[in-house]
Amino acid sequence: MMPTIARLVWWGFTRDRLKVAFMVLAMVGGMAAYAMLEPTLSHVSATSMQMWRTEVPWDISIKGAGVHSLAESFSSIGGIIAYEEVFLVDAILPRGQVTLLALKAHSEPAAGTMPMFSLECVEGKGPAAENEIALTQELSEALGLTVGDPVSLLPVESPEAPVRFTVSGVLAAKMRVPTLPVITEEGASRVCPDLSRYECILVMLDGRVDIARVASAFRKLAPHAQVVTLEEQYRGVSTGFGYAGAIRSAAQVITMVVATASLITLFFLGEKTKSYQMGVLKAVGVPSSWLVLSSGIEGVMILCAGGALGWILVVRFYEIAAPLSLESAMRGLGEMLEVLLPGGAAGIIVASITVISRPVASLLREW
Amino acid sequence: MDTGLILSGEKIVKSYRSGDATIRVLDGATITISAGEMVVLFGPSGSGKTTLLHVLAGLEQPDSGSVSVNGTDVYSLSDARRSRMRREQFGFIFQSFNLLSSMSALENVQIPLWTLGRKNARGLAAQVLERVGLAHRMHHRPAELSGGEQQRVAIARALVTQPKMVFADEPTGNLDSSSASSVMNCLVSAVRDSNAGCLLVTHNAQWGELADRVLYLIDGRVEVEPK
Repeated sequence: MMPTIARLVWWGFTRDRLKVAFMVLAMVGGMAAYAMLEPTLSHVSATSMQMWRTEVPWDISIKGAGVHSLAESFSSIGGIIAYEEVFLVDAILPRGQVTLLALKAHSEPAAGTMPMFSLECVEGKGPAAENEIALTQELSEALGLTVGDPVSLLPVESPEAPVRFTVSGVLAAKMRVPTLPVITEEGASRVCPDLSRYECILVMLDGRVDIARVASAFRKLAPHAQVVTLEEQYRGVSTGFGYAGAIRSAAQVITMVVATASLITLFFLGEKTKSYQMGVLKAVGVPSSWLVLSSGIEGVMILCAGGALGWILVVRFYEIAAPLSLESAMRGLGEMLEVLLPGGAAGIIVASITVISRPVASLLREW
Repeated sequence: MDTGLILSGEKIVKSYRSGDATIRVLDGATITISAGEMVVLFGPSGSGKTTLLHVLAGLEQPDSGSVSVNGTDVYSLSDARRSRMRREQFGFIFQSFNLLSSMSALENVQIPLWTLGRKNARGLAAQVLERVGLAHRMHHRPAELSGGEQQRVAIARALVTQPKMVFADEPTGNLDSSSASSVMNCLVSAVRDSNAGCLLVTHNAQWGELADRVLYLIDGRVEVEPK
């Protein structure tokens, strides 16, 4: 039985190569579309959510001595997509008091999310040494300073002892959100020797969780810390997330449905074109079950071949188009295969049975 | 010639719906074919010859009437048993040769033997191909064979299981006259060698000479004389 079925499968492959090619293409196209949608829409979604963060690029700030140690507990809270451990120290410049930011550490941003401080240097570079400072564009213009110029800061705690810095660069925020002058952690120590009092964690939420619940969790973890929530801004983020999520889900469902329906339609039409031969084979004694099995195997092999080819091409594409996340694409591919393989296989078996189960005389009339 | 009754169709009625109309294609057709007998059934296109062949071969249930093989009512059998009977006792030749393109002539002839689980399918198929004069072409694929050769492969496929009854539906309909003669001679001689009964439906009057008996399908009934 199996050698005969294998021969029938081979016959199915070779008699209609165009159908096979189109089915493989449909599979590859569906997978590629889905896999590219996932990171692209995630990126769009994250960007659109970021657009709502018009005040500052975070949703909660936790200030207080020793708050950096809280980061270890974040995984138990949930809903946090990124955070940064910073020091916020105040100093006096000729134009008045400013807050300086020194970055200590940051989380690995979740796939598809944007780094909180989407800063770019419009001139020079970020601070690397303890005596370097990157000014904001606004401050640079107000003070008439440019890269290489010296600038003296007066610590708020001891204004009688100025600390000298050199401007290493001028920063601009990509998303038009307010930004702060940036110094290194060592530079911050020069302004405020006891830095632990100026620890701060800036937290970005995913748009789904209740900001009040997260803030409450932080307050329990650090009762003495000052927890500030930007609720109005976060409501916009949540709305943006809802819209973006709905668009993403709709696009993914449409891609899946179109790909699966295309595969089944192509296969069904292919089966229809061999109705007469099926009738002849049934008439000469080939059992229907063998024909259904051989058609099913043929279809599933095409699905697997298309799936493998699609996987290879998508991975290769992501190696070239580096800005999109391969990890996210792989997740998309996995989701697509989870639906496309069983859905396509079920459709193919139904299509085969629909054609092959017809009476022999009816099949023979298809000539 | 063995005169034992093998196939009998009694008062067969078969209608088709075409839009709102019902067309009665067979209207009480009765026919008997004995073992080793070559029967040619003539009739114009659309007269119902193929439908009668399908009904007699157990491929299409009639509206009324009966078909029996050696006394067994074909349509009282389950689908599976009817398929088995067809597999073991009948051979089919169609107008379109319908060989599987990816298989050689030899493999195409082996298909019915594979379905029966026969041992030495290859040897048996080779013998039958030799009988139809295709020993030298048995490893060729259908695309490498002429129309006449493909139909001879189809004849070998029909006869390889040594059926008691062969049904041939316009087997020369797709061939030029020279190939058609060669194929018909091949069919008749192969059928006679195997002592099978044969029902050949055609609208080509030329093949009447090869038959033991000629019948006509007229107005849904089988007649011994043309109108």
